[in-house]
Amino acid sequence: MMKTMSILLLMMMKPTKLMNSLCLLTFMFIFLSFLIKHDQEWFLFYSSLSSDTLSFSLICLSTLIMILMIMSSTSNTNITYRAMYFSLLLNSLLMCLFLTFSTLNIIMFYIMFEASLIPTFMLILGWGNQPERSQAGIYMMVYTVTASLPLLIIFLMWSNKIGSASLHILYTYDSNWLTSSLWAFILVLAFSVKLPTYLVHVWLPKAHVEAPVAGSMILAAILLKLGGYGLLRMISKTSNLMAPIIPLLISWSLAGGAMIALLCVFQNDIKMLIALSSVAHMAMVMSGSLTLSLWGTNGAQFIMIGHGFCSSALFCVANMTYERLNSRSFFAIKGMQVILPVMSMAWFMLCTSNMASPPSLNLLGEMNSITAIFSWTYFLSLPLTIMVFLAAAYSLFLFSQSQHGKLSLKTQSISPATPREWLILFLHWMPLNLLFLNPCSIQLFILPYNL
Amino acid sequence: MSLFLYLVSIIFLIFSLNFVMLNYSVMFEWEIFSTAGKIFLFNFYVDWMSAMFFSFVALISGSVLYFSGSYMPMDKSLRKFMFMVFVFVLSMFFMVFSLNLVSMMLGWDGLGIISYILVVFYNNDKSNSAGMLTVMSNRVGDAALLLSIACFMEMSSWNYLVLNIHLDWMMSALVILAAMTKSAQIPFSAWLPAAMAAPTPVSALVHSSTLVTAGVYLLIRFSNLMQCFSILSLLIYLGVLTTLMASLSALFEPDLKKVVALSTLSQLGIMMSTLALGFSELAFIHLLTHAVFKALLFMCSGKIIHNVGGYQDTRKMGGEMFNLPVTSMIMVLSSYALCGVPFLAGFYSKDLIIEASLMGDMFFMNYCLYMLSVGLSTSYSFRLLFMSMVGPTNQSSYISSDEEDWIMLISKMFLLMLSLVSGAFLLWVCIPNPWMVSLVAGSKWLSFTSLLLGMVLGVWLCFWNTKGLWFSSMLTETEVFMTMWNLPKISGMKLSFSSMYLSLSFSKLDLGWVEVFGGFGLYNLLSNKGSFLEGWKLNNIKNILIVFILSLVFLEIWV
Repeated sequence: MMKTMSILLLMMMKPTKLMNSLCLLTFMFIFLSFLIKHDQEWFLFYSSLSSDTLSFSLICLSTLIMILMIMSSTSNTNITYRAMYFSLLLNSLLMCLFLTFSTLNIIMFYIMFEASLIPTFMLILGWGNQPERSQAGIYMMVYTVTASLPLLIIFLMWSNKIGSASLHILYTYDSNWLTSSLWAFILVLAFSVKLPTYLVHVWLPKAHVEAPVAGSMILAAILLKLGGYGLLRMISKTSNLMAPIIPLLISWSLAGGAMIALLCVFQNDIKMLIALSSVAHMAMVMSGSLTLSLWGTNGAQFIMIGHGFCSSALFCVANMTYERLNSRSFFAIKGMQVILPVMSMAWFMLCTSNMASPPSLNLLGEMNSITAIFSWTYFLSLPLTIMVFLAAAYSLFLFSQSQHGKLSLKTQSISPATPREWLILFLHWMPLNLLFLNPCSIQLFILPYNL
Repeated sequence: MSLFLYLVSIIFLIFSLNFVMLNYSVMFEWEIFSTAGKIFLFNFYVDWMSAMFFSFVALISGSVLYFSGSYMPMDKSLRKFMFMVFVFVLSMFFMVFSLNLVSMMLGWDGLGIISYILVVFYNNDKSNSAGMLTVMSNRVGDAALLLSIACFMEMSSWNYLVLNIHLDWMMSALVILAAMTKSAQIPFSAWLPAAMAAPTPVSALVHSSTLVTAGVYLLIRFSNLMQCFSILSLLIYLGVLTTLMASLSALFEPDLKKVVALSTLSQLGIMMSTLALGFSELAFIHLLTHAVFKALLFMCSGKIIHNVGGYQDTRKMGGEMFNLPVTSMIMVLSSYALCGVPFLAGFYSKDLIIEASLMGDMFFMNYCLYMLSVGLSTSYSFRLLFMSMVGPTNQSSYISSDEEDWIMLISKMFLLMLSLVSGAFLLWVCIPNPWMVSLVAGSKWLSFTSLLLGMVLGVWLCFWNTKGLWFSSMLTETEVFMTMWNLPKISGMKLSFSSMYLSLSFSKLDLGWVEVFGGFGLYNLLSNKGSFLEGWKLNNIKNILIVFILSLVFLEIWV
């Protein structure tokens, strides 16, 4: 692991071309991949940096997505002319994410959690395509920071009371230092804004849509999972505290997920549809993990990893269409199957993976989450059914509306899919569908109480 | 490719016969994922029932692929088509051979999605909407199956062999709901006729024998576990109602493929009600024989559609008997097999079903319904034959048809042989000790007499309705039957428009109130209140400097 950190630091040496940073990131991923089959559950690689399966899988995912981000940004001349700044931005983001996922110090976790917002904000503001990107960036920052300032207070109080900020020591004490459910809610609030859950999800459509493809990919793949990761870490030792509010939180996220899924079907902007579908998936993550069961935790993990690949791939392929047609609207993008058949197959694979069809990891995650939530209470089968059904509705609507139909483009020539684009989509799709056969590499074997 | 599938079919047939004789079965397991003491497995269970089902599926797929070589001669699309049919057969493989609900779910989901892709093969508006309707109706079943996986956690396993306790009502309801959507029973029947927008080989494979029978197969496998009487009695009546509705609609339907689709639907209703009565082996036999002659019927109608120039409306067909003697022979034989003409394939399964169910406690309405189901299936079969083959021709004068298409003929040969003998063969194989049937003479002759009466009714209807004039004159009365008792309305536009209105009202929340209490409202609040405060601030540089100097003076004095 230290080799990977050193390569990350090496990237601070100002790579002037995108290809340089791509090579360094590939090396880093190769070093990381040696640890994917790990026999020990948790290992410490520095005095306060450690990783267990949850954080390690997210670190691998972020590195892989970084590689794919650079690959998909090479067609954007705005980025290639300023390759050094872009690479530095991505590198700092990766550093923040790496530290967030591996740190044991709770204050460091908070600092890196907030710090990952800044490179993202600069990415949205610097390379986004529409003038709405300034509002998008502001929304993202203000929503996240507003919700996480109470979290900072809680963390400081917690570490002050116990006397240490290390997660191990904090976890050995029972959570009777706080007696009110309001504090438990505050612990969850920051992560539920990041995740996001329904009423505080407003930043997500804006940020995802206005970001460039690299920004959308990292937002969808990793930054949403920061919320899931924090949630899983926090609920493990504060479960006694949270028990009164857990029914509220589960109903909130599931009802919100069902409502968002209904809204998704009737969008007319491709990226907004994909962004809102992320909200629906993350609703299932939140509900699954809040059931405090091993099934729910595993379901949350599988959905997080699977959704990371799937959503990021959908944003990539939407961007490939956007580069050719310069529009994101469904009214302009139809009949693509006629002119881009290779990408049509990629759209189909990804849309069906999005709706949890076999053999994708999303199906495994949904099976686990649904099992967990259904065993919590069977009244929740209604929002679950609505979400599963409408997931198919909007995913196939996305596929059918963009690929089938009559092509209205008679005056423009469209270049076919380049091998680079094919490689990006393949590298997204392949782990998603192969990890289904061996989920024990990303499975969480330990009970949620010991996370 | 089709040769490969024929070979697979023969191999599995041999396996199945072997396994029946020796009462032997094989199980492979591949563990995907295990947690908390429960294991998700790929579980392949080859016993006589699944091997026989899969051999029939492979046989029909092989014939259909060979047939599509002549039906769809466009090169590039044919390769894509063959690949998709192969993936379909693979999903069917997963579904048929899996022992537990989880890996059955994999095949089930795969079936739904591949059938979507096959239905939208021709990219026109009708295919696209038909595909959406198909996959959405199937998705309800998928959701029910996912919930039943969650439900089965309380049982010790998802495996239907291992469990020997009866399921309670919720689990039975969920599994039956999944089977009902896949096999197009009454609330979900609208997708099956609409899916006829698919190419004819797809209809022959998917919508006659394999996809729609997946639901019945699921229930056959779980039939030992489901003894919840209230839900099963509901299923009996839904099955019989489906049969009735489909038969009545088939009598009034002008589109050739839709008539065959509705006949599939009526036979599915019979299969479902048989299952719900408890006769799972009989349902299995009927499933297999029906698959054979329905696929054959679809392939013949494909040949007819090709020969009348590509349209499917029977009001412009007729008189093909003279031009296509072999095809009309095949069609007549498969229709006879469907009706249950004695000693052809359908007779063994259908007759035995009716006799077995009449042996139980019945009341008069059931008697009538069985008579109606057999009689009406005969009438629509004869109507189909009359309109396309026998009746006076309504075709344009420049259409000619010929029998020279050897590929199409040869592809039907195996299935033809099977449709003649498979009933007897399956009965001897699957039920080695014959059932003892003791009935009153009136009950015993029920199906034969209703067959004859139905034949008379069908032919009489066709003669009375020459050139479609009688139906057009009584349109307001027949409209209910023609639109399948208005079922497509609840599955189609009404549902989507009402959900659009619902989502519009949700976006009032999403873009409205959430913004008011969130970003936009906060921004407005801060700027309004801030501008109010701004007014009270001293904005003059002079005032600020005066305050500064005065405060310095006070500081000097007091310190």
